[in-house]
This record gives sequence, structure tokens and C-alpha cells, in this order.
Amino acid sequence: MNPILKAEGVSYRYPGTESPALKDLELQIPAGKKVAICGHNGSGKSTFFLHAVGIHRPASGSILWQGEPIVYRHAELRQLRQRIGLVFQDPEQQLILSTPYEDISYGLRNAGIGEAEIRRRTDRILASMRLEPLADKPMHHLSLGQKKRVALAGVLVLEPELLMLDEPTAYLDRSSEQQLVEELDRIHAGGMTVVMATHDMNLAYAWADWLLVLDRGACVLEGTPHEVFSRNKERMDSLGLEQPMLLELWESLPERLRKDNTPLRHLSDFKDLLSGL
Amino acid sequence: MIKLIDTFSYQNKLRSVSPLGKCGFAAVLFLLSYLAHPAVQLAIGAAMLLWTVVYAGVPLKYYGLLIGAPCLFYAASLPPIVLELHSADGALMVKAASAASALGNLPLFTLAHTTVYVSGLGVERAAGLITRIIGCLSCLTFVMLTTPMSELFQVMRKLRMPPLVLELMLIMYRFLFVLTETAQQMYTAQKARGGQSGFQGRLRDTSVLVVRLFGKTMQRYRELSCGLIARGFTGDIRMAPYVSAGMPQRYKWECVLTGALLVLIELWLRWGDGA
Repeated sequence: MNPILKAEGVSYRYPGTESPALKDLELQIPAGKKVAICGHNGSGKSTFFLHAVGIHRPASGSILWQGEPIVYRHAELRQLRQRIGLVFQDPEQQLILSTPYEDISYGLRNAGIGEAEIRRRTDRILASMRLEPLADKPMHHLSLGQKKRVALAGVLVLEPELLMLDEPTAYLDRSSEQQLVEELDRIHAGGMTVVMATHDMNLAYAWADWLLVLDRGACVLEGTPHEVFSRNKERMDSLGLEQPMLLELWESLPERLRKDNTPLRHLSDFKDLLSGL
Repeated sequence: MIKLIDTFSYQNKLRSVSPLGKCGFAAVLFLLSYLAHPAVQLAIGAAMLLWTVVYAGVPLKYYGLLIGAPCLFYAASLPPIVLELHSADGALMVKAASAASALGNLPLFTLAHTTVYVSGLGVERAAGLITRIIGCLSCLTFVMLTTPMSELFQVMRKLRMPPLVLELMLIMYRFLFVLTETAQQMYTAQKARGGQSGFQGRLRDTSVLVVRLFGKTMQRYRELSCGLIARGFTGDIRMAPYVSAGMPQRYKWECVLTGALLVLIELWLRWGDGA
């Protein structure tokens, strides 16, 4: 496995808090995969993301980007932040300009790209994310789902190598969630490593190639969704993370159906299987 | 009210017209209404009414409200302009050049050896003031209602407004709505849980709301700075450059004609009679 981002023994404590947010965190993000980071609120997912882009600096340990420790100097950090895109849980946190068009081009302008190129890339991302009808609307007229897509577009337009999303589906309705997941799959197919922090186990199970489970600031489990969920059932239960619905259904199927198959991860596959009976 | 203005500014029929053109037109008329005669000032008010209500399609009701509300300040300042006090024995307490006025003074009542007058000069002054207020106000309202804030920022940037001021305005504009919404939500939540009832309850709950809103603002500020850093913030917020939008020929001509006509009337009023 070739890690694009690695945490080595990272510890961090927010000023004025009792317990550490990250405690000797050892974690690897494999390059080119769809990675889900699971864990409860306060398990350290967001803190890890802020470390990855160098906003927080570990009290001990280090973060390695493509094998090299992060250099906490202005110019290097700036470069790093162009290569790692971070989408926050609350889009209000990163949308700053008054219309989607202006906001999406904000990161490009920070990167010092020429106006013609900015225009071209912004137009392209607006088209590919179907945001054109919203481009010149005021930001506060947009719905939450739309704002989330604008925030994502603003990060994607920089063409990062690693995309990290903090709870991208929180507060979204099912169809917006579906739309977002399709978007992420398309981005991943384009060669980007995509990391998503979530506590929606069904989503993590169906979407991810690789799963990391965080608990109280440490990475306690990692592996393919199948490995994590089926082989560590007791462990997951003790962490209070529920089994994905599809996996539970799978396990309640008669033995002869399951025998030579790996568990199905998508509802459509499941339907096919059942209708074939 | 702010939301309403904002919505109109994004949805009016003149939105696509060049923001610099609209601002320039309004600025010229604004200057003129500052200097001109009352008749011209009223004409400017009428012209702006035509542009805002008919061309831009803002409902007359809201336009009236927007012009009317600031006039309350005018109303509040009327008494010191119009009324004058004289002590009863005839000595002037406030010197008024009442002889210069054609209207003369009208005594209202006498109280404790002091007579309160409506001064003729004051009334003239007040009348001059209201026409000027209407003229200037309608120019500003026109810009406010037809040009979205984001385009106004670009105009200001083009006019070399200092970036720091622009950034402050930009962030204020962006968070005005976020905070209003947060306050609204907290207010609704308080009501839903039985708060905001009775005078004392209202006072108490509002104070809690203000404190919580302040806390939330600080939290928002911290989050936003993280968000900005992650997006490569380098010390200044770079805005999209000004994109010049076209101005339909018809509007162009009408702008020029309106301006020229008003200036001519003003010139005629000023020198035409005397010649």
C-alpha cells in the first residue's frame, strides 16, 4: 500500500481541554482509494483533517505528505493546501464571497493564476457540477445542499491530489446525498484520492474501498469494509458503531446463498440477487 | 427589510444593466439634487421613481416604504428647525431673521414667559430640506434596489476603494445574513420552549439570545479563519475583477437625456429669469 498521507504518533490537545483530541494517532491514507474515516463525534476526525492541511500542528509526532514530513513554513503550507483540498462540514465556514461564481474562483485567485485561466476553470467546474443556474445568485439564497456543492466545487476547482470531506452528507436529504456520492465517484474515477469522515455506517460500507475507524483520538481499526465490519463485529459493537443494514441482511441470508460470495455492498446488487432466486 | 432590499437587488429588471453605468447615473443626479433648486430636486425624485418602479419593476409599495422610512428622521428633526422660542417680554432668545421671510412668524403658545413660534424662515428651510432629501434619497434607493451588493463591491474596487474597507464590508455583508438567521432560529427555539413570554421573560430571553449570539459569532469567526486558511488565504481577499456589462442603447439615451434636461432646467431657473 502506498500512503499519500500518513500520521505518525500524532498527539494534540486543544487549549483548555482535559482530554487529548488526538492520542498517538497512527494512520495511513492509501493513494488512489475511496477512504472513509468512521467514528463518533469527538473521535478526532475533524482534528485530523485540520492537521492534514497544517492548520493545527501536532504537539508530538508528525504528518507525512507523500512520504515527506510537512514543513510548517508559509510558502510550503500554501503549496500543500493547493494539493490537499478540505471541505468542511458546515459550508458557511468556507464560503466567503457573495456569489458561487466569485467564491469558486477565490482559491484560484489565491494561487495566483491568470484571469483567463480562472474564468475557464471556473466555468468548467460550474458546468460539471451543474451549478450554472446558481452561479450569480446571492449565497444566502442557496439551500444547504446547494451551498455544500458550491463549497465542494470551490475546492475541486484547484484540482487537488487529495480531497478530504468532513461529514459531507450531514443534514442532507437522501437525493442530495445520492447526488453528492455520485459526484465523489466521478471525481475518484478521475484519479483523485477521496477521504470522507462520516458516522453513517451504511454510507461508509457502500461507498468506501478502505475504512479507518477512529476512537478517542486513535485509529483502532483499518481495512476493507468487509474486513472491518464482518471480522471485527464485537469490536465495532463495543465502540457503539452499528452494523450496516446491508451487511446484516446479508448475514441473515441462508448459508447456501452466501457461500462463495463476498458480501454485497449495494442495494441494487442485493435486489438482483433476490430477484434471481 | 435588509432581506427585501437584497432580494430586489438580485431580481429586478435592471440587474443585467452595467453596474458602473447605474452608479454613475445615480451619482450625477445625486450631486445635482444636492446643488439644484427644489423643483429640480423633485424632478429628480420623479425620474428615479420612474426608473426604479417602472423600469426595474420594484413594487411601488416597497419603494414608498424605503423612501418614507428615512423621512422619519427628517420628521424627528423638524421641531428644532421650525420652532423658535422668544421670551415673553420681547427679547429674542433665539435670534431669527424673521424679517427675511415672506411668511412671517406664527405664535403657537406661551408658557412660563416663553412664547413658542413657528418661524417662517424655518418653514422655508424645512421645505427646502425635504425636497433635497427626496432627491438624494431616491438616487441612493435606486442604486440600492437595482444593483446587487456583490456588483457594488466590484464598482467600489474599480473606483479604488481601499481593500481593507472592502474586505470588512464583504465579510459584514456575508455574515449579516448568517447571523440574522442564527438569531431568528434561536428566537424561534426560545419561543417553542415557552420562552419570550411576558415583559420580564422577553427581557431575560433576549439578553440570553444576545449573549449566545456573541458566543456564536466568536465561534464562527474561529471556524471561518480555519476555512479561509484551508482555502489558501494569503492575507487579503481577492475579489473577482469588474466585468463590464452592456447598457442597452435605449437606457443610455434616456440617462443622457434625463441628465441633460435636469441640468438645463436648473440652469434656466438659476440664470434664465434674471437675464
